[in-house]
Amino acid sequence: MKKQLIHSMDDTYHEYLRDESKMRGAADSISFPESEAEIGNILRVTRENRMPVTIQGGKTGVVGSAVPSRGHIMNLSLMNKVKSFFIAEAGEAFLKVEPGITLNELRKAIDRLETPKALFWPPDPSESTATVGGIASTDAKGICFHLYGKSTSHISGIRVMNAEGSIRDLKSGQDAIVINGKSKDLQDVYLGGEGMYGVITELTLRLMPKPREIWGIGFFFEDREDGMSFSDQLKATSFEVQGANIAAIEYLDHTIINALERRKNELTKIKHIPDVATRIATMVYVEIHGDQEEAIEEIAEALMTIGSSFNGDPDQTWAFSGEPEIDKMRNFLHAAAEIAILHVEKVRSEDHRITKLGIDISLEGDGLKTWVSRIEKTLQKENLKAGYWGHIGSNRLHIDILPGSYGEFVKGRTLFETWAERFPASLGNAITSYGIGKLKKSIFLKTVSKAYIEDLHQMKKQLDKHNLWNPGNMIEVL
Amino acid sequence: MIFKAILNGSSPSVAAQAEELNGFIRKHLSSGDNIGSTIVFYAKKEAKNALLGLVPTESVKLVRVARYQPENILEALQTVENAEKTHLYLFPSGFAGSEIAVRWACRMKGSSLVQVKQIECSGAQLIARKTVYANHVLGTFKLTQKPYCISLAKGSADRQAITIRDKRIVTEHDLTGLQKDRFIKHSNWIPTETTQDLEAATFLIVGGRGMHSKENTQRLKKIADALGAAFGVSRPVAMSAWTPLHRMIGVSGAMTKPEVCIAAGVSGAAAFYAGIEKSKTIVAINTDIRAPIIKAADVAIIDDYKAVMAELAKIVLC
Amino acid sequence: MNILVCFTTVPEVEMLADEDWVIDKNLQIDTSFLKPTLNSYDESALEIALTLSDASESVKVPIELTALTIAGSGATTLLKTLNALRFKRVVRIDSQDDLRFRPMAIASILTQYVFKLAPQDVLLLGRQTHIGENARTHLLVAEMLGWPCITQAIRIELVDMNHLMVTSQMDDGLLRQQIQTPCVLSIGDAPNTYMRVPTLKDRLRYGKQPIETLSIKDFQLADETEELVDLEVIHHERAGIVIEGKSPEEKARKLYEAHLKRSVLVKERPAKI
Repeated sequence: MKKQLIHSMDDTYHEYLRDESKMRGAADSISFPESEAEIGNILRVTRENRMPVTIQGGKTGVVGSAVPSRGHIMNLSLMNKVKSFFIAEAGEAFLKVEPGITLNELRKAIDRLETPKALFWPPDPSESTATVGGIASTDAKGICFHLYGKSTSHISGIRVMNAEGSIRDLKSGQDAIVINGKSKDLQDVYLGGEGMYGVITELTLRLMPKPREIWGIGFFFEDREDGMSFSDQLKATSFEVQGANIAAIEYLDHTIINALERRKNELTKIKHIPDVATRIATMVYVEIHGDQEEAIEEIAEALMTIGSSFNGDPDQTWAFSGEPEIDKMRNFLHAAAEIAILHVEKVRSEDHRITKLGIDISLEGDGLKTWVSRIEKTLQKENLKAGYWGHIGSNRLHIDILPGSYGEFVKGRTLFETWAERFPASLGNAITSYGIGKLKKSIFLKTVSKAYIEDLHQMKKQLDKHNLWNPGNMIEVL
Repeated sequence: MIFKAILNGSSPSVAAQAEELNGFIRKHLSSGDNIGSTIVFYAKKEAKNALLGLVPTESVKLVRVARYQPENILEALQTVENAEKTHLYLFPSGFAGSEIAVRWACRMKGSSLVQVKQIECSGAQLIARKTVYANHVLGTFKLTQKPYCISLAKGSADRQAITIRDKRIVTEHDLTGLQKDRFIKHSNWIPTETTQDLEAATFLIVGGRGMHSKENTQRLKKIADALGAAFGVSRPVAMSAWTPLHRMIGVSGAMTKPEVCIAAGVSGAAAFYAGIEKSKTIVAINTDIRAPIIKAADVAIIDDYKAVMAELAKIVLC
Repeated sequence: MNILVCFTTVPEVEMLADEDWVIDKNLQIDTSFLKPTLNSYDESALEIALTLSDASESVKVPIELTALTIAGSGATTLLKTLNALRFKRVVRIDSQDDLRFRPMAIASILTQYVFKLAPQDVLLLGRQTHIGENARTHLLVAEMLGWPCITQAIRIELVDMNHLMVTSQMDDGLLRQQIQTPCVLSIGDAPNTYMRVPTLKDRLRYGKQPIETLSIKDFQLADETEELVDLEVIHHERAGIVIEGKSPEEKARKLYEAHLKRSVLVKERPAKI
C-alpha cells in the first residue's frame, strides 16, 4: 500500500497550528515527509491545487514564522538524519544533515564523531529542541553570537527545492542572484528567509573545534547603574588572551531576577542555581571560552578587577566551569526569556486581548546605560512596569513590558510605536534578533528602509512567483 | 539448595514482607530439592505467636533482640548461624533487607546482590537477575561464592498468604543484651506515612515535574482524595520537597500495582516507570507527545493535566 | 574531624533515544557521547559535607574535607570546582577500568586509602549510581573498615569533635540518631541538596591547587563475588493510544467512559423507581 503523505487537518494535529508565540493559525492539511523524494511528491499535490505551504521545524519560534495562515503545513521534524561527515582538504570539518534535526540530536551526533579534537556547531539558541533548518531559516542567534558570529556563517551549503519541485545545491559565496541591479549571495537569501523562497532539504554545517575550557561567571550589583556601567565597560574592552575570549555578556535586571527566583519553586531545571539575594539590582553573566585555562583565568582576573571597581562584591560572584555546570546556567538564562510569556498568560485570564509586549533595541553607539535611562523615562511617564534583559555582547537589549491591565497594554503598545518612529535605526537593526514572522511584521515594516522591503518583494517574485511559500511572513504579498 | 529467609519481626510491614518472601519462595524455590527455614528477629515477647503465623517455611529460628539495629542483627546472625550449611539467604525487599544481605555476605565470604527480581538455581549454582541502568536494562549475574545473600526487589513476586499452619521452632535465642550499637548515643524515631497505601491502591494518581509547584501538587492531591485514589509523585517532585519523601513512586520509592494509574505531568523516566509498570492500565496526561511516558502508557491524553483532571473531577463528582 | 566524600560521574542515560540502547558483545552500552554528570546521590553527599564544614566554626570543631573519585582525566574540571569549594584535599585515582559492577574493587580501594594513606573519621558516599545500581559499595567498605554504617542518610548535623546527628530514611519512618565516629554514612534521597557554586575569588585562588593523582595500579583490588553474564534491554512499550477530543472536557469524558467508569470509579447510584 502506498504511504499516505498528506493528512487533512483534524483535532490530532491541533498543536501544529501554533508555535511558542502562542499565535494560532489555520490550515487545510499537513504532512510529515521523511525524505526529499517525499517532499517532491507532496509538492506535486499542493502545486496542482495552488495550495500555499508553510514549513515547520521544532515550532520553537516566538514570532509565528511557522504558524500557517492557510493551506498546507509541511512539518520537517521527521527529516532529522545525519547524512555524512567529511573533512575538507584545508582540514575543516563538515556535517551534512537534514533540516529537521534538533540541536539536541545534532549535539549528540557531533559528540559521537571520532575526531582527534572535540568539535561543535557554534549557533546555540537556548532552546535545544529548535531544529537546524529553523535556526538557519530565521538566522537565529545564540548567546555566543558575539564571539562566533551569525548562524549562517556556520553553514557552507544548502540544498533547496522550489514550488515546481526542482532542486538546487547552493554554496555559500558561489551562487548569486541579482535583485534590483545588486548582486546578492543566494544562500544568504534563503538563510534568514523564513521559508519564503523554498524548502531547505539538506544543510552542510561547518563545525569548529570545541573550546577545551568554558567558564561562566555571574556578577551581582546592588546598584543597577553599577551593573549597567560594568556591562558597557566589558563591551568596550578587548579581553582576548591566547585565543581565549569573552563569548557572551548577559544582563538581567531585578524584575527578571525576582521573577526567576519565584520560578525556582516551579521549574526543577533551574533549582540547581543558587538563590540570588533580594537586594541585588542586576546580574551580569559573562562566559569565557578558550583552550588554555591560564588564559581564561587571566581574563577572569581582569573581570574581577573591573567588577570590584563598580562595587561588585567578589565574594558574591558565581564561577561555573565545564559543560554540565554551564548548561544549568544556560537553563536559567533561557527561563528569563519565558518570564514575559508567563506574565502574559496570567493577565490574559483577566483580559484575553493582552499579548506579549517585547521589543529589541540595538545598543550600537549609545550603550546600555544610556538606552535604559532613555527608555525608563518614557515608561515612568506612563507608569508602566518592565523587565530588562539582554545579550550585551551582541549589542541587544530586550525590554518586556509587563502590563497589569488592558489599559496598560494599550499604553505599552502605543509606546512601542512611538519608539519605532523616534528610534527607527536602533529598533530596525535589532528587530531580526528573534525573526520577524507574523508578529513583528508591522513594526518591521515601519522601521526598515523602503529599499530593503522592495528587495524582499523582488526576491519573492523571482524565487516564488506564485507566492506559495510561507505566506504572511515578513511582508504582505498582494 | 538449602535456603533461609530472614524476617524483621519488629517492622510494621512484616506481614507484607513475609507474604512477598513467600511468593518469591513459591515461584523460585518450591521444588523438592530445596529445603528452607526462616530466621525471625523480634523485640516484643508478646508478638512471638503472631509472628510464627507469618513464617513462610515449616522450620523457624526465633531470635529476640532489643531492636532491629543492623550492627546487632549482624552480630546475632553470627551467633546463631553456621553459614557453611546454608546456600542461600533471602532478605526481604526494602532498605533494611539489602543492608544486612550485603554485609552478611561480606562477613561470611559469600556473594551478594540486592533488589533481585528473579533467580534460577541449578545444582549449587545461583543465577540472579536485577535491573541496572536506571531500570532500562536487565542484568544477569552469576553468584560465585556461597553463601549467596540476596534481597528482593520490591514487587519481584506477588504477595502470597502463608498457608503452612504447623511451625517447628528449631531454636530460640535471647540476644537482647548485644551491644554492637554502642556507637549510637541516642536515637529518636520519627514515624512518617508509609508507602503501603500506594502499594495497596487499586486506583492511583501520580503527579510529576509537570505540576510545576507545591500548590499544584496539593491541588492534584485534593482531586485524588476526592476521587478516592491514592496519590504519589515522581522523584523530582519529592526531591523538591513538594510532598513528603514517602509519596515517591519508583525504584527508590513505592512499587505499585493498581488497576488504573493516571500519570499526570510525568515524563516517564525508566526508574520512575518501574514503580507503575505492574499497573493494569496506565493513563498518561502530558502536553508533550514525545515524553517517554506516552509510549509506555495504554492510553494517553495530550493536554494540560490540570484542565483534564479538573474536568474529570467534575464528571465524577457532580 | 576528617571527612572523606567519595563520588563519581555518570552518563545521563535518560538522554538516550530508544535506538541508542544497544548492548555489544562485551556487555557495554555506548554512552561515550553523553555528558557525564555528577551522580545525584554523590552530589548530595558533597553538599552535605560542605554544610558540615560551614557549621565547623560555630561548633568549634575543625573539619577537613577530602573528595575522592576513581576516574579518568575527564573528571578534572569537577575536581577543580571541588578545590574552589574549599575541599582540603581533592584526590583522583586514575583508572580507565570498567568499574560498573565492581563494588568490591571500589570498596577495597577506599579501605586502603583510609588505612594506608589518609586516616578518616567519616566516609560519605551516595547510596548507588543509576548505572550499576549495585547499592553495595558503602556496605562493603564499612565491613572492610570494620566500621558501623548508617544508610539512607538525608541530613547530617555536627555535634562535637566525634559525634554527628544523622537523620536517615528507614522503611517505615525516619530515624534521628546521634552517633560516634568513625562511621560510614550513605546518602539517600536528600531533598534540596544541590551542590553550591564557588565564587570567582575562590575559583581563582583555590581552583588551581594540586589534584592528588594516584593510580589504580597502586591498590590491590578485591575480586568480585558475582559475575555479570548478560545484559538485556527492557522495553516498556504499551499501546499508547491517544484519546482525541476538542477540549479537555471531551477528553476527560472519553477517558472516564472507556477506562474508569467500570473499574475504579464505579458510581453507586440509588436505583430509579
